[in-house]
Amino acid sequence: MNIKQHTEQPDDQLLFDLFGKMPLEKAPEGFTEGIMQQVYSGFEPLAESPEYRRQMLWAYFAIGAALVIFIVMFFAQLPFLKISIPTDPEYLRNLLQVGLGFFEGFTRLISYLKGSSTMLIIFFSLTLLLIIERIFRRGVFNSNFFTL
Amino acid sequence: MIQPDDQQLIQKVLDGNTATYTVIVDRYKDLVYSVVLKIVKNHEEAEETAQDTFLKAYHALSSFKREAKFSTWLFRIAYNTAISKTRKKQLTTTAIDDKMIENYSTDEIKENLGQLDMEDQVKVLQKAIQLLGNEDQLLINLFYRNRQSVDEIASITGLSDANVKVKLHRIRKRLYVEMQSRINSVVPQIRN
Repeated sequence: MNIKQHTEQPDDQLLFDLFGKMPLEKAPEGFTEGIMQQVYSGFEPLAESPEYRRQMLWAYFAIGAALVIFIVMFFAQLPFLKISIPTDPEYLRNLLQVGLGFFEGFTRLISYLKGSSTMLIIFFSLTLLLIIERIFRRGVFNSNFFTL
Repeated sequence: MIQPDDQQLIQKVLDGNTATYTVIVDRYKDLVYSVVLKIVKNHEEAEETAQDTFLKAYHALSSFKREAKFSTWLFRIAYNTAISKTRKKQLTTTAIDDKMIENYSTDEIKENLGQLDMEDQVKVLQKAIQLLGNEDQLLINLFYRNRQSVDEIASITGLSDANVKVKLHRIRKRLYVEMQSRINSVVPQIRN
């Protein structure tokens, strides 16, 4: 390659020479073999990377914790230690209707949330959990986290 | 023996000779590793990022437009992969004192460098590079080590040509200042 095509300063040659003498960081042993193995096996790198697994772990943890909170808070609405299955047909029908269709159910769920402070707590708990999960996915232990 | 160029190798891979990709990986693995290491600053992550780079490049090889240099295309993938790994939208640069950078003489540096053996010359440069921010390290390495042109660096990093030129100019000055400072502390000891 013609060095002159890059040259803007007469002193550039000194830096080109010095950089040329500098040892290059070497890729680790077995690097090429590792890649070719994945190429041959049709491995999708992003789906199995440690970062992806870490993210999925936190996602599952957040979903699990959200479910636990949801169940606990839902039954806490009923008399403590006297948990009973709702038997009021009207109440059950309302619950069933919520799950019947997304659009119809969503409207009912929103109105139900509006009338229930407990449900609001659940809603905000879920939001908080999702935020926490995002924080860990971004790497809270990364020193540059707060500069993002 | 004449080595086949990148275009020939890529065509072979696209024609179904997957094993030829080994030659491409071997040809660029150290350069790619070196580039991503400047960004992620961690050998383990650099290895992972470099691997992802080559795998992404392999899967996207058919979309590579032949008018660009393969190395530029590959480094752009490496750069973007490393940036997304670190989730940094901005790389660090170094503040440079304009008054300070005017007070250097390349002739003096060359003369003094000549009094050092090659190993020490390289050490002086390495120490000076370490004082730069990671974006500056990356740019200066792409230019002087990897011999990428300003256009190519702009394409890799997404900076404008003018911005790359300005940055390289300032980084070069900063390097000289740091090198001069290091040489001044070493050369008198040699003379004595």
